[in-house]
Amino acid sequence: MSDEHKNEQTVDSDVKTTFSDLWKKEDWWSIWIGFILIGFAMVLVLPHVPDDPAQKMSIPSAKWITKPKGWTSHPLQSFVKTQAEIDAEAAVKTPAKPQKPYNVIPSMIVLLIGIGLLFAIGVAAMGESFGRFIGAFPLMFIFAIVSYWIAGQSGVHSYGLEYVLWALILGLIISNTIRTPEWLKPAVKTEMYIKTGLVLLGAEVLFGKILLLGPPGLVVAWCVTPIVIIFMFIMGVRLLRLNPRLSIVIAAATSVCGVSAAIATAGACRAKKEELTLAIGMSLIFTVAMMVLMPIFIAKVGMSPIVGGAWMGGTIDSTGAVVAAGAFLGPDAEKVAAVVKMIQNVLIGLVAFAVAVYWVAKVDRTPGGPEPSLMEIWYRFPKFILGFVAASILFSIMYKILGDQIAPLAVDEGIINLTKTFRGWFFCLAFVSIGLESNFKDLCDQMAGGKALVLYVVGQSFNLVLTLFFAWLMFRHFSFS
Amino acid sequence: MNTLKKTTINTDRIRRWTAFFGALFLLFIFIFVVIPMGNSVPLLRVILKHNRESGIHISGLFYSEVDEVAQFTQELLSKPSKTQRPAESMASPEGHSASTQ
Repeated sequence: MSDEHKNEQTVDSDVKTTFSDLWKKEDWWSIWIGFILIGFAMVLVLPHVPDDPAQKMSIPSAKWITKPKGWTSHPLQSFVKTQAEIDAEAAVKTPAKPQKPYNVIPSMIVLLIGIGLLFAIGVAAMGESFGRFIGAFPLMFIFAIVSYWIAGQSGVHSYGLEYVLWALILGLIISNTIRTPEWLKPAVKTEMYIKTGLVLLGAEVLFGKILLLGPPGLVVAWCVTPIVIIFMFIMGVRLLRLNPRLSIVIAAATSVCGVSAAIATAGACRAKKEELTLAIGMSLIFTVAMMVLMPIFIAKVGMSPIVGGAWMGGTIDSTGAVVAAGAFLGPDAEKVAAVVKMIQNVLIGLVAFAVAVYWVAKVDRTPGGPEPSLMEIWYRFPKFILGFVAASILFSIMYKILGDQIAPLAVDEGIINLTKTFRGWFFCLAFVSIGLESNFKDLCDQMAGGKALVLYVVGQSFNLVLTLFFAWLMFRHFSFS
Repeated sequence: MNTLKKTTINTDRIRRWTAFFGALFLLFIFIFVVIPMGNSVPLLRVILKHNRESGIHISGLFYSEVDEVAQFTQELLSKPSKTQRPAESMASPEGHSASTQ
């Protein structure tokens, strides 16, 4: 590995492991907190799963695990909306989905206390100050709330500009103007928030879903992706002479599923925060452009909606943007795009694990030194990836055992519906932290004279062409009947 | 000397807070002025209107954050699987499966 990473802040650094690491190391605490929350969600959900799959499930305590809602011109509607306001809006225009009145302020307070205490206990066990963390965490949580609030504005939301972007911008504004206050720094825990979020993300990676569209879906989502990742990595490292970590994070963001893949891969290869920020920034900008241009192009050239949907599902980075773009072309395109994207999302687990192993075994080796032993690989392996993979295996098995009728209720609508909310909060806190620890100069340096952008554009172009070919090959005769 | 140092610190502090509020103001302008400008671009207007009215969670990062994916998944799961087709093709002309005869 090059020397430039030795003295610079990476996502994590670990050497030898001992038994006490189970309660002293951040990686293990991310696993404990992640599984505590998974267990908590199971306890809340499983007693309420109906015996009859046709019945709707109601989880009374789920209202406490939520986030700020969308709003248009009344900012406070992100937190409180009355029935009168809903009726007044419905009188002007029928909403796309039925709405109920809400007040999320009490749940924000409960989440602030609950999440704050969980992390504070972990921080204290790792030898830092419980009090300082608790004192700093409320402001971090408020920054996360503001990020969600901005992302929920309907104009912003219609572009698909996600909460992670606003969390980053907010943090950057503070750190590059008034500077991050010293008293806030104990709660600026990028790695811990990201790793815990990734353990929870593992619960959403369900391997049983990859055959939903049969071989066509699997080929477009799982065959094209590794080819593009390898192509981009080799191009980035050998041709453009970019940092390997930056290259692999950009490659994963482009070929798998954008922000989530970038986060998982950055954690797996211990990338720098600035590298992650750059990859995500480019991914978000191009996601908006592709969400707008691709459906229009597909309609103009008269492409089959199903082939077009598969093409968009395999190329546009975020799932929301994929579904929106697919919906623009019609119900069949929307369905294919959404399911191809979901199948591609599931690949994130394998990619993160493979990158972690490759980095530990090959990239981080001493140049000219011997092959690392299995114990050495274990010492250096980012342990939170094990939590990520374990959560994925646990939930994939649970999904299979519960069966196709009960599993969507218990797992998708139930447990994952709760864990994904926690996961969103942790990613939001992580990106606020990244912003608070970054400065514009370091970010600009990562652009490497535009080479990072060249890598993204060339890689995405290759991804577009290859995916279009396979989408046409595999889906040209596909029918839902 | 101390007075000069204090003045420099105060000036620096004022400059930083001015930059902070200036950045927040620019953010405000971007969200409420620049972003709505997309509605005056014909190409963008159609897509943005569709996105707003569809109710889809456009900024969902992962499939679990977009309700439509769960709905489509359930539809596909409830379709008869391909492995049933050989049995169905061996069925009686009336369409009943061999096992129910």
